Amino acid sequence: MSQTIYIKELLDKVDLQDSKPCATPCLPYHHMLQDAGKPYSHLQQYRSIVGALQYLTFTRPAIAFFVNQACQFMHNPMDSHVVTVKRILRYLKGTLNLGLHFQPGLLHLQAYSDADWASDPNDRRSVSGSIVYFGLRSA
Amino acid sequence: MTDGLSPVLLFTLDSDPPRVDGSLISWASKKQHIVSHSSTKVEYRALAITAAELAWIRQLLCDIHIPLHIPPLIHCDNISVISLASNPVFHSRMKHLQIDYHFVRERVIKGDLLVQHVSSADQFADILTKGLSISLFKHHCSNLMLGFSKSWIERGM
Repeated sequence: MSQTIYIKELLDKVDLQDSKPCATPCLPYHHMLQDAGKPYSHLQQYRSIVGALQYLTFTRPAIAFFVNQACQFMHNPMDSHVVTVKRILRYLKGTLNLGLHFQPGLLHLQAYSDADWASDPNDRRSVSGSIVYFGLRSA
Repeated sequence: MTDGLSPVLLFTLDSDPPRVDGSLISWASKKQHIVSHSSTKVEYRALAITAAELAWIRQLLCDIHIPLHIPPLIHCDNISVISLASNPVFHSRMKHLQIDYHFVRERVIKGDLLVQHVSSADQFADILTKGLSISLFKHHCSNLMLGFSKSWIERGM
């Protein structure tokens, strides 16, 4: 299951068709600061791009954390946040055809649960992440 | 090239094939509502949220006549949380933990849930809590069942 056309349309909308692709959507251990840089003037544009990215997390769970981070600054985006969002878009450009794959497995629910303690530098709250796998019995 | 791998999708060639059984059906990356002193508390809270999600899915499956005979399994990389979830250990800091998070312990004691330890390297949920290096990111991407379709690869990669 992939959203290739959706990503292409999004890249056309923000004029990043010719950008250089990245291997990851974010630098390791990078955190977005509340007041890094100058306020970004095109509020509407930031909100619409990040809003569109939220719909992409359906087939691309790998960017879920970074989109979640970007969403937290919807009310007052700064220049540095726009750079981070552009990096997510450049990562998507390099992996247009990546999609979620479903395979049969044992009839068993399995989950992974993790938390990153006090990782947000703005208010020192923690981030929790969870993944659930489920397989229907192989045919 | 695709022998022995999935007939439909081929995972990124520079990453290992996924070591999971089944498909990814639910995931979440969320900022918690409170500031916490202790990292155990944070992990325990995450565990409680995951346990609630699993209980919901199990109930839903039961409603559509797919009862699960093996209790759901949660993998967690924090040893103190695992011991907290299975026996009523007491620690002065743990008394502040809200009662509803002991929902996990209740289910573990009833046998409705299993909690198992995994090393941090095999913690697949890592990708939803922080930014990772390229190699680790690719590794976890394949564990999330992200891959390229075979038809696309045949068209010329």
